[in-house]
Amino acid sequence: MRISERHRYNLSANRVETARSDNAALLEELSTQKKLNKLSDNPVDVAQVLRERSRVERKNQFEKNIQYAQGYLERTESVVTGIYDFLLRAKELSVAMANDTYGPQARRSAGREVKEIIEAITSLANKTFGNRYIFGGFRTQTPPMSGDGKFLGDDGTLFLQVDDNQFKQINLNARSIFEVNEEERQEGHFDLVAALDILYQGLVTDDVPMIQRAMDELDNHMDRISNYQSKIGAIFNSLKNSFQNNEVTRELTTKSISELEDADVFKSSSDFKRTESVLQSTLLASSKLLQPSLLNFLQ
Amino acid sequence: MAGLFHTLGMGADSLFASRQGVDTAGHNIANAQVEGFSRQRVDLTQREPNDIRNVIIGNGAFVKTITRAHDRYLEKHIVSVHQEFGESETLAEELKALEDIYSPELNATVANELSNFFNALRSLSNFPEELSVRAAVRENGYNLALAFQRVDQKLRESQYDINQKIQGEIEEVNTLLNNIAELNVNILNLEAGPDRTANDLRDQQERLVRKLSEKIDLHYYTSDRGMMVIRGPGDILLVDRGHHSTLGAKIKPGSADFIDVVAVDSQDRLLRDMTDIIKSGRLRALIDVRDDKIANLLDHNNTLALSVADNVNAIHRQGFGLNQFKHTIGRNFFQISRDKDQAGQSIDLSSHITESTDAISAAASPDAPGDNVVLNNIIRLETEKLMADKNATFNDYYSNYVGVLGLDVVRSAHLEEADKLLLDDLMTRRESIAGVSMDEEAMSLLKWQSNFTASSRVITTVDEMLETVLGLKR
Repeated sequence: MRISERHRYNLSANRVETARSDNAALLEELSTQKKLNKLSDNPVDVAQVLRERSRVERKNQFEKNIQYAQGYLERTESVVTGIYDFLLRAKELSVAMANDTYGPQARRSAGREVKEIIEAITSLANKTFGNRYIFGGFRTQTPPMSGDGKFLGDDGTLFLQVDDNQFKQINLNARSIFEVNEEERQEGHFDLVAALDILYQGLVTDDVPMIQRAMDELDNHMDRISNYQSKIGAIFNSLKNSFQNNEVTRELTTKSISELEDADVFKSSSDFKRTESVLQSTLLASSKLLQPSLLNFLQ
Repeated sequence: MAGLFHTLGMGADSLFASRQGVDTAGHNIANAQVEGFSRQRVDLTQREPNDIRNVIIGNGAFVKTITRAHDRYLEKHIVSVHQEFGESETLAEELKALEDIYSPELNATVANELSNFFNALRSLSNFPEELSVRAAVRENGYNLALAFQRVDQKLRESQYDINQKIQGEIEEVNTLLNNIAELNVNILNLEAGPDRTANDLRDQQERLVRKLSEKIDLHYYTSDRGMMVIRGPGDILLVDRGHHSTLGAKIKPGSADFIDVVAVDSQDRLLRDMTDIIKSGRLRALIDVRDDKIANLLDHNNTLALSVADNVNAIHRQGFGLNQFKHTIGRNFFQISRDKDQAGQSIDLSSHITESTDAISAAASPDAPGDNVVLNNIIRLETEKLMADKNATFNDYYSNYVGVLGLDVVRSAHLEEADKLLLDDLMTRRESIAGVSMDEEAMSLLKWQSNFTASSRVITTVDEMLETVLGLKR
């Protein structure tokens, strides 16, 4: 084949260009440590990565949600335990004071203690987590218990998302701690603070049957609260499971993203070395190729 | 009757022919790097012999023509591949530019902002009454709207740029058409007479046709006296010997500044609208990217923006806000144009939300600051299959259409590469026929130089002979 001048130069230029662009592509891969720098590097993988990245973001958020819910529940549990302890103390007082060995004097002083217990429970009922009242249902910005022991919250149930398509309830209906339901009310039962108030009145007025009556009411409320505590425990455990599930999925997804988009450093650096030496030898060959011509030998 | 002076004349002719040989070699060397140049050869021919004293005697040589090494079938092939290459190269170039809008390295893509927005809502679901979290939701909602706007704006910018390029191509095509028609006339004038070929002008003519074929599909033939007739898309006569048509731009119906390509003849009469009949070349690729590829991407962006806004709004309207909004419902989160073509550029936060984060409606019941029921319903939208006939989530839809663009980019790059290989191969073949080789020209120089020396020997010999003849008289 005839080799023309332009062909010789074009050929050399093309070869050097190819070697350079291969070299540059690998340099980019090596310096970004990523296989997917552009959409066209691998469109199918890019679409996959876009999807999985959003999944990882979601999982991260779910973990935050769960941690928040756990904090919220721990707070709730400690407050409920506090209320239970106070009720236990009130119960002990009522059992002791129902006994005839104590006189009116002792009962009055016990009455003062019950009064304090009522105040303490009211204050516990108005405890907050962050700046929200834990027992208020959806009315998180106003104290759920009034000074005279009325429950002012609502029945709002808070759900938090803990997984795709899975929402978990993180508060329990606080009304069931502080108020008896309609049925019980008709059977003659009283709300929590009202029950303590009966005990207080019984003690102050030295009325033993009233104290005994209050004892029954207190039993009823302590049952409710321990029931409540076990429900909290159940939610807590299921949150723990969700957390673990999330963690596993997140790690697997992160790993698969990394497999899709991260460059194999050893492979790309050895490829880079190869293209570098290709470039070197192409340049060398081109300089040799362009040199000789018959013109050089003419006198 | 021939005498010594005749021989002297023959030597002079030979000198002249040798000089033309050196001339041509010099011309070849000078043009060695000129694109489209075909090497030239002197066609040295014997003169008619003389009949002198019953002997037929040679009469020397003369340069009959100078021909060029050229293969017109190869040339036609190159022109047709050039059309394909012009199209695939431009397509690849323009799609590559679009690709950057959706680069996976970018952190403010629509997919990213969507996921940030929903995660902000999830945080707010934890703290519906928290002002700072409400502000974060507003911020993320705004970023999402911005992401849609950014894609819309970038796409429209590219569309506008391409429109400008189409305008530029039209002008270039017109210049080329004009030049070819002028060359036709020049060639006609120069080639008047038998056996005359205007090699260099024909080289230029072919080079212009090759350039033209990069832009638009055409076929051509060379008619009498080297004048070219070119027919373009839809068999429109682009160049007819000394006359040429012109391409023009006409504003596309129903568009503000996009142009259609039209053809007008030399009397400025409208021949026809060419936009749909151009089959290949740069113009085809540019029109395709503007009217098809980008229009499609815009449509996807609009569809997604509208769907996100509508679905979020539908649920958000059922919710109660905080403070002055705690008893009222019916507020949108996003505001967006009802005209779908405007969706991507018009999406923004609604005025309520912009004015106060209290308007973010998280609650399903009035006056309940801790209520997150409405938020939870909005959050569910992220994983719900709402797009593409209920087959894809928002993120799926985005990933899919971006993936399709990526495949388009890859495909166009492969096409470009294939066409380039084919073209390179043809150009190599062309070079091997028509290109200048220095070695060859060096040989040629040597050849003509020694010929020249020898011819001058003929003249000095005749000179000596003349002296001898003149010396006879003494």
